[in-house]
Amino acid sequence: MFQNRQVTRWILLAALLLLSALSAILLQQAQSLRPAPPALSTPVETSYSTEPILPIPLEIPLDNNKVALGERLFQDTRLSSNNQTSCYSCHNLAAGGADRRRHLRTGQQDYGMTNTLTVFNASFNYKIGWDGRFASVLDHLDDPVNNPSALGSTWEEIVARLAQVPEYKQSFRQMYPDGLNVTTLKDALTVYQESLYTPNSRFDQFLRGNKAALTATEQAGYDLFKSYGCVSCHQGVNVGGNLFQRFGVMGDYFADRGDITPADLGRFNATQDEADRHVFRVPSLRNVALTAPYFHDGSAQTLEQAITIMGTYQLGRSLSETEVDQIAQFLRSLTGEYQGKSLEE
Amino acid sequence: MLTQPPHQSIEKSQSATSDSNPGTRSPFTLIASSFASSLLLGGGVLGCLFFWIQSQAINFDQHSQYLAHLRQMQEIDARINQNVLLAKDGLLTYYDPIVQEITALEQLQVELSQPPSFINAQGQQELNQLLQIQAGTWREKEVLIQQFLSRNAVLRNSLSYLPVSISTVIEQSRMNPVLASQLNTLLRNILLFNLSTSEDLAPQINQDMQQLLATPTSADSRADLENTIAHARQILNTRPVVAGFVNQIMALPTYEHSEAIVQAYDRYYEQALQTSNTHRLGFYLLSTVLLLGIAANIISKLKASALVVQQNETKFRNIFENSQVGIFRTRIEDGLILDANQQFAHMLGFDSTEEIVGRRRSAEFYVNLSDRQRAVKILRTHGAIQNFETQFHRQDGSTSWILYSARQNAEEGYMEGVVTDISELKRVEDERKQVELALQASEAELRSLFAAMTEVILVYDREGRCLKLVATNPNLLIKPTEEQVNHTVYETLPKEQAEFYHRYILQVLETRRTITVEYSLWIGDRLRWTSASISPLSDNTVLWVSRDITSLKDAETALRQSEATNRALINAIPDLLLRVRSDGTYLDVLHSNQYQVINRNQLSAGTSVYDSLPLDRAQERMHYIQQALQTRELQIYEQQLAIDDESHVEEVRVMASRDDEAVIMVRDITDRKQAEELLRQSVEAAEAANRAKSIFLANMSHELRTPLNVILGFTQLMIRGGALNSQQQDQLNTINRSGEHLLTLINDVLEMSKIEAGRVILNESDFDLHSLLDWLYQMFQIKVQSKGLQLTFERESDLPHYIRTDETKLRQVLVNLVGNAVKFTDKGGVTLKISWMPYHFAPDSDSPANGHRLFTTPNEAITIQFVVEDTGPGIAVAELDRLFKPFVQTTRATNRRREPDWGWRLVKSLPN
Repeated sequence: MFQNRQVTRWILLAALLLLSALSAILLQQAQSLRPAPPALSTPVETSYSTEPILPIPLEIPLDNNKVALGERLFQDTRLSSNNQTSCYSCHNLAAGGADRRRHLRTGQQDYGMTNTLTVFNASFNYKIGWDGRFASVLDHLDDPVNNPSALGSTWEEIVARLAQVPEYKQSFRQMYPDGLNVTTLKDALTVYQESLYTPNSRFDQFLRGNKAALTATEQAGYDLFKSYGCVSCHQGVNVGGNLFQRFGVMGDYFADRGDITPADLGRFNATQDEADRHVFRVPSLRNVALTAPYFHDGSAQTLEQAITIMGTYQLGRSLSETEVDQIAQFLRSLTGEYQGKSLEE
Repeated sequence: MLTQPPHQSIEKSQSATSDSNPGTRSPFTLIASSFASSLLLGGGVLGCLFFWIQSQAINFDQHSQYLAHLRQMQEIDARINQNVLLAKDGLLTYYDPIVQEITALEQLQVELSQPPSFINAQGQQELNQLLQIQAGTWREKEVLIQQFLSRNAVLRNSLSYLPVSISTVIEQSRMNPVLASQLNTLLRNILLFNLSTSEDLAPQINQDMQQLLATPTSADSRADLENTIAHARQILNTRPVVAGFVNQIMALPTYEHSEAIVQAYDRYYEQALQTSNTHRLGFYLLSTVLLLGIAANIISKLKASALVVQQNETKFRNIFENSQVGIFRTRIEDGLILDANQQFAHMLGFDSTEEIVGRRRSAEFYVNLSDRQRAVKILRTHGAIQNFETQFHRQDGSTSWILYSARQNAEEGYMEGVVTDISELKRVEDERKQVELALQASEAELRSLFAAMTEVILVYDREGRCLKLVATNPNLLIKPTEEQVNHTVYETLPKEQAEFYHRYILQVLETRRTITVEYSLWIGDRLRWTSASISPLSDNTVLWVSRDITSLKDAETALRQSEATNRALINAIPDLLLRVRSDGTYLDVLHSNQYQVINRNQLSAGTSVYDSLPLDRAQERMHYIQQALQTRELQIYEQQLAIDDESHVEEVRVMASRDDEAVIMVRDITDRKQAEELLRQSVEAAEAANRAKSIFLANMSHELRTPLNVILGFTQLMIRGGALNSQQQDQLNTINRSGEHLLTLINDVLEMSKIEAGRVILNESDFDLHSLLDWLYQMFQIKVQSKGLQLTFERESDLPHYIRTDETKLRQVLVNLVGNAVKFTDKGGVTLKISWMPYHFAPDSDSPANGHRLFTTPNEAITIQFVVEDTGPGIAVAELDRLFKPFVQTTRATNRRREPDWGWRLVKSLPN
């Protein structure tokens, strides 16, 4: 080619670069990186039920091993510092998932100063607690564990105590890759609580189409429940538990009752909003027949009493006995089955 | 975005293409450049990797998921809004959808707070910010929704109960239709109010409510009426509140926020996409550059290596061609030359390789073809052959010795190797071999000389330990070598001997001087004398060289003994023994004390002849000394001396002993002389007597012969007469023979006595020698034939015909000689050899004159030699002398016949 080798070299070099640049660009063009736009998520079919109350799903898929583990933990007194209390102590499944007390008493002082809410169907609730300060069951677990009136312990202590039990260690290691720690412990308890749903109450059967599941009285009660507007708050799958409401819409309950405790302030304790004074999270009426006493202060011993109070303060009307009875019967039909067995007494 | 690649590739190419001259670069630059290029390569690869990884940054799953979440968020938000509206309008009677979606939204927010990893930091920050804002808005919305739901429930409650309440009141106040219609109107208005968005109906409703309240009713229904109105008022109050909440909810910019998030995300996604594309481009670019660079590098390296190979090729070819040894490749089976270098061609006598490659076979050049076969065999067995010597003959016919080594390539059937001309070497080798042989011979000689030595060499140390032992003759060792080395003298020798050894060793080590000692040792069964020279070898060792002097000692002893014997002999000898030098100085004087000399004092070693003898005697002696030294012959003379007034005759014998020395023996022969005189006188007398006897005999024999002749004459007459019978003839013959014999005896006696008496006269006459010899031959022919013998006369061809001498005597002699020969020979033959020569030639018993004979004049004296040979038994040497003594018979003759054999004596006498 050229006599001068250096020149040749430089030319070759330039040709080299040019060639590589061209090929690179070509390649890039050939390959398009832009992927297909992501498929839109399938539109959710929202079919709304005509009835304001929905039946509890008959079966919710859960990891049975975790449920079993959670059940063991739920009943284990090792969760408490004094080794005498477990979750079960207050959330007695035989007692409708709550206790039969007005206020929980565990020794020194009253816990929460509110009536224990049932653990059944608690996962369906929008917020947990009378003041709705817990976003979910998982979030609420810290409260009973740390509160000296309840378990009075710490998660670390519980984990340490449980770690000494080989069965727990083994079980946790089997189910969770990380083994036994605070997160997995909470998860086990949460999963267990998710398993505490009570489907197939007679009312659910009625909703599903079995008109014969309810008696005429119960049906009449349901009608009343709807027409009197109770269903405005006590609606949804859990017959309540998904909104906040003032206790005493048409009347001042607390003024009439007197003896205001901090617990009576309700949601105000959580939000500090004046508008939330005496506002409570609406409780679920599922299995309400089993969870006496009623209201946050457990002031209503019977269902009829509760209905009467509700009628007075939320409706401004004193209901007749018949009406109360009808509604009460209806409410009783809300008792479901746990693990295939009806909770109705 | 293109930053690094061009730079790097330039550097790379440079390093790649500048590798063309590897030989001219120093090792340092080589290392540096290779380091740099490998560094670049590594960097390039890393760069490629980086680009590749970066281009793959976008995780499409993450992207689509995030996007989905974003979409979902918007959807949920929309649905919530929808539901809220539905709830407000009473179309949604339960709030689970709303609250569940709120919860779902919260979950989404958590998910969305982790934007995909490919979003750059700025994007993440922005997204997070937006999400934070969104979250804030959401919380607001949630609170509002809760409040809405709460108020809405109240509204719903009142709305659903109002009709019931109104109907109850109407039922209770059946009598008051106005009330009923009013209530209905109220209900209607309320419902309308509820459905509308304006407040137009509000005042009307208020008015209506006031009116209703003013209406008197019964006490029972009052409460219900009030309750109804309360609910209506509730509705009136609550519906705007609810509407307000809804408005607020709707007004919240959640959609805008989410849209902003989506757009922001899209933007950053695009950015990431772009970056990824760029990286990909960079990757392609860099990888292409790298690949091309590597290719260029490889090509240049290939070129360089090709160059190197070529250089090597040239180098090796040069070596091959210019090699001083012949390099070849030949086919094994027939030796066809496949490859050869110049030297090889030269070796074979060709000028160039073309003449031999592919044309000639190595087998043609072998002097011994069997050598090649042997070589091939070795090659095939071992795969290689080393230093094979053989002879080649070149093209021009000359031969040379060559040496080659080769290796075989079995698969391809050829062998390759190198060959050198070793003719010169061979010559040198031969020379060397000869030198070696000579050396070996001399070595052998030396060794045998050495072996013949009788020294034993030892090295002793201070304690007397024998460190080394060299013995040429092991027989001279006290003990064998193994038993002596490393043992001390105390272990090897008897105690006294060992002490003796040790003493001397120490002495030598002390004085550092060599000493010589003599001692005797029992070696085997003999006492041997040894002379040892002990010299210091080092500080602690001595060298002990011992020589066996036994023979010497023995010789000494013998010498001493012989000396003593000699001395005794000398003393016993009565003679005077002198050893004298050529100038007359006496070197030794030996005599017994009895010997009488003239002057005893003057006769001793160192004195001269002239000192001890009178002048004339001394001169005489000197004369004889000189004579003896000259002739080397014994000189004998007699001298007469007067010693002590007595006259002595001495016999002096002078014999030269050395070049200038003589030995003189002087004997007093005075007594002998006297005795001799006496003897002579007696002999004379005896001879006279003998002569007288002989004369008598001669006379007597003459007297004897006469009657005998008569007897013989008559006997012969009687025989010839012929008148006798055979018996008588025989008898007469016998008488005749005996008579003749007697006559012969008498004749012999006569001759003898004649001779003895000295009366032999040689009657010289001229006669025919030839006829004499014939007669002689004839005479003995009969005798010889009768005995069966061979008689031969060998005469020289030029034997003189006529000679002058005593014929008779000659005849007698010859008859006697031949007769005796015949007599004493029983088988074989007798030969008479006659030869002659001029007189002055010494007669040689056996040889004829060897052709140097001069022509002799008739009267010149000659010597005729008569030799008689016979094959008889002979006479013993001892007897020969006796034969020629008178009247002696040899024993032999005595055994055979008892005849006095005068013949011999006669013969001896005559020639004399």
